[in-house]
Amino acid sequence: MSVDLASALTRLIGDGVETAIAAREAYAIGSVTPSVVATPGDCEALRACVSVVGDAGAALIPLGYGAHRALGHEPRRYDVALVCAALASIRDYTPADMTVTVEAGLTVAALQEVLAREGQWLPLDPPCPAETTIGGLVAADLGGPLCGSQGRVRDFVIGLGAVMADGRLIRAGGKVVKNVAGYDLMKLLTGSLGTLAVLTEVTLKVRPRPAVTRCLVFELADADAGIESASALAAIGLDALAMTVVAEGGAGGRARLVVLLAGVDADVAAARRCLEEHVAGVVLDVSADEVAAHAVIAPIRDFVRTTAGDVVVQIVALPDAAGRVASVLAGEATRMQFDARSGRTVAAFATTDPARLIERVAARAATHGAHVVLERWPLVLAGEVEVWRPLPASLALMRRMKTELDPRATLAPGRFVGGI
Amino acid sequence: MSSLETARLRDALVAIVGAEGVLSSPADLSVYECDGYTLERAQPDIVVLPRSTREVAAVVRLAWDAGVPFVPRGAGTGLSGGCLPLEAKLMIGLSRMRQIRAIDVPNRRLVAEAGVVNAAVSRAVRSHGLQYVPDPSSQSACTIGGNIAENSGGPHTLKYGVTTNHLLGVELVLPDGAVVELGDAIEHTLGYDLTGVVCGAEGTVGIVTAATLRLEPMPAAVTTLLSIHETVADATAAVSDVIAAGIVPAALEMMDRTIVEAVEAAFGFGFPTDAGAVLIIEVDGPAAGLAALTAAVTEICRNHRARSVRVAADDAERAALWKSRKRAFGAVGRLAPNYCTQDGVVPRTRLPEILAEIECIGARHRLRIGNVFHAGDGNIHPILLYDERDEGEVARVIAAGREILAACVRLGGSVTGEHGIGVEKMQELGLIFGPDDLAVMRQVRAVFDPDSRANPGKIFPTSGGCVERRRPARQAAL
Repeated sequence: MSVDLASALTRLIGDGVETAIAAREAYAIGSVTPSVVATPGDCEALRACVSVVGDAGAALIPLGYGAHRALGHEPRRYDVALVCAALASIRDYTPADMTVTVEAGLTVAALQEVLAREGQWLPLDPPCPAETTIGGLVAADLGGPLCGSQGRVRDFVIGLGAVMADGRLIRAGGKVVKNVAGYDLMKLLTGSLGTLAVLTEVTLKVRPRPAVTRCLVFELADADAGIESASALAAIGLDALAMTVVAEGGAGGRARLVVLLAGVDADVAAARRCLEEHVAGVVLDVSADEVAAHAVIAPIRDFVRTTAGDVVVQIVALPDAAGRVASVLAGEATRMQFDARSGRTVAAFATTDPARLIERVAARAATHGAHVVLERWPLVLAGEVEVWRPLPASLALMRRMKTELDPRATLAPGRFVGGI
Repeated sequence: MSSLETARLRDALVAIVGAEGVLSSPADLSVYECDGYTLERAQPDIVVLPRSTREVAAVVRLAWDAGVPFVPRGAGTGLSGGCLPLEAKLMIGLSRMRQIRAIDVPNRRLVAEAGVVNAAVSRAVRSHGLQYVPDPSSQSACTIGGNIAENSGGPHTLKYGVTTNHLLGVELVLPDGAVVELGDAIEHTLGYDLTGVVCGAEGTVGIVTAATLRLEPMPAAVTTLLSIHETVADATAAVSDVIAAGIVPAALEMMDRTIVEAVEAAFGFGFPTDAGAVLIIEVDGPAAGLAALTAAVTEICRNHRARSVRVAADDAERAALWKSRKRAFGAVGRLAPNYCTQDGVVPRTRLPEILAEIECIGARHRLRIGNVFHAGDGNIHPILLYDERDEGEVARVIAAGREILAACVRLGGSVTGEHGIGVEKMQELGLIFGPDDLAVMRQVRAVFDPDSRANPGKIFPTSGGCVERRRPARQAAL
């Protein structure tokens, strides 16, 4: 079948098809390597590729640069890596409208560059923005240190274009910031990890870039001191763009509180005074400008993808439980990052018994009613672990959604929650 | 339904909710013949008012078994006929589900039942320094369930987003009577974001009985400015410059002369009735930077020939200003026996064009049209004044409304920003979406509601026969 499929795709997109082992391995997911890598050059070619793969009864996974492909279950079937990175144009950008329409393959970093020239930005900061496409950002619902103050992907996507599993090209939403015409398919596809449709185009709300951005780093006694400080600052409503506790070396290891402040001069100065009043720690670094400030936060943003570790988990809890979750994880993790406002903790572990560690972490999270996302785990456990926990109460409805929109299971079969 | 079927259904409903929760006399039913969109009216056969999720589920299950479609209703303040009982003659009113089930101050969450009034949510948490941000103009009457169905907005959504941005989870009764929980209190989505799909689905996927809402702290400091301009064009240019300066106000509202006249007659705030347009601009944030922000906005308004820029002196004046704005729709009743509020959206930069277009359309149809709208969002609300006793004028109102929406679409916008499609705009939905787009939406609907039992005959344009089919319903208004 794969030989036929490769030739059918070659008829469509010519040398956009690769079957050499090196090319295919670059898009392997866990232990599964696709038979074909297809890189369509435009939206119509992409649509045709999906159609051909579906009609062949084969399965595809939409990808950008593959930076986040570790997220999700190993696919049940994976014949074609459908690379969307060639669809990378900006379709519409009128700065005064504060909206931008881009093709799904444009990277987040490239978009930010264009927006910055107009004094604007998309206040979302996924890990590794230079290798993260807008399609990937939306499909994987990625976030970073900014999400505690700026919101999540779902708050910024106002329109989209997508290819359905049967090859229909559809649109939803629009290019205006307020719009209730038709169902909100933007919400349905955000975070659906390529299992319902292949995104081709996304319209986003953008925001003015803050006039001033500064970064302060405080050295703290230990992880608990950091967690306590951050939780207290969140409770009094410190106006910070980002506020992350970074703890390394387990119990007794060192901890830092990294804070991004932004706004007009007076706001930044006031927030800084508030910080220095409330945080009992040594100030390590005060960035001189915006570029330096973002450089400090970049490794924190990228941590979930770049860290070493046998197991990496993300846990999201209610704010009043999040600190306790983080504190427990910090004791065991080689590195732990905690955001009091979004309730998110990301932790990396070195372990000789990953299965038991995962169960232990999940059980602790469950006692606090938290959500767990397994960001990385050893290959040997593929098929044995559930990546997202707890399984949602409406899983049956979600399965029906998948069957209705992708009855042949063409799109990323098995990748999603509960093996959808 | 035949009268026998209706009688049988009524008895079964009484067994579930008690006799006082079932309405079927013509006098009782007349209250439910329309919502805030009064151009069309239709009476339900039965209105049932359950008090709990269990009762809603039992009612819906009964309807499922009897093969009877239903239409959910909140407070009936909708503006697109979303709860009009056209195809479904069983109306399920949620107004008796008024419990706030939980308030979690440390985590800034609140669980409200569908019938809780929007303003009651903020009232319940004000003493904790918290608020529920979405604030539709009808907030003193409209319900959380209705807000979710319509994905309602309001003046303060410019900076803070609409209902969906503050909704974390819902309890949903599916059309077969099953109760499902979508989402939860945690700021993270597990699986598909079905909460996000239900929000704005206008009651076509089931009945939301309760919702988990995110609360926000009250802003540290707020300044509300009133800028008086000679012309709508000057006011619009000021709006553009505020946005271009990188300022995101909490609200940025405009009223034109027609509306100001009505509002002033009703509330006597002190608006000059000879001004071409007034802007209400609210900026909020940390106290430290607010003075600079206020100064910047003031300067921009002055640059656009503002006759005066006045800062609300205190909370009382600020409240009076907002009351004038939010009750503008009602005040319009002084200008004409009837009015129809339109709801369209254009990209912010196209506001001058759409306002000029509306003026032309009004002149062409010999209609008086006032404008009160969310200028910062590009969300316009032309108010078309008419007299329903004049059949020709009613027809012109409908035609002008359609032309205004078509113009919004031509300018890159949408046919509804916050009022919904309902019955009013089913044909207009076809202006922005093609058959495949709508087919996928129908598929999504079928996942929840395979037999179209929940609020049938809404949102989706029917092929051709729609106008004829709806004509009898329209007659009541004409």
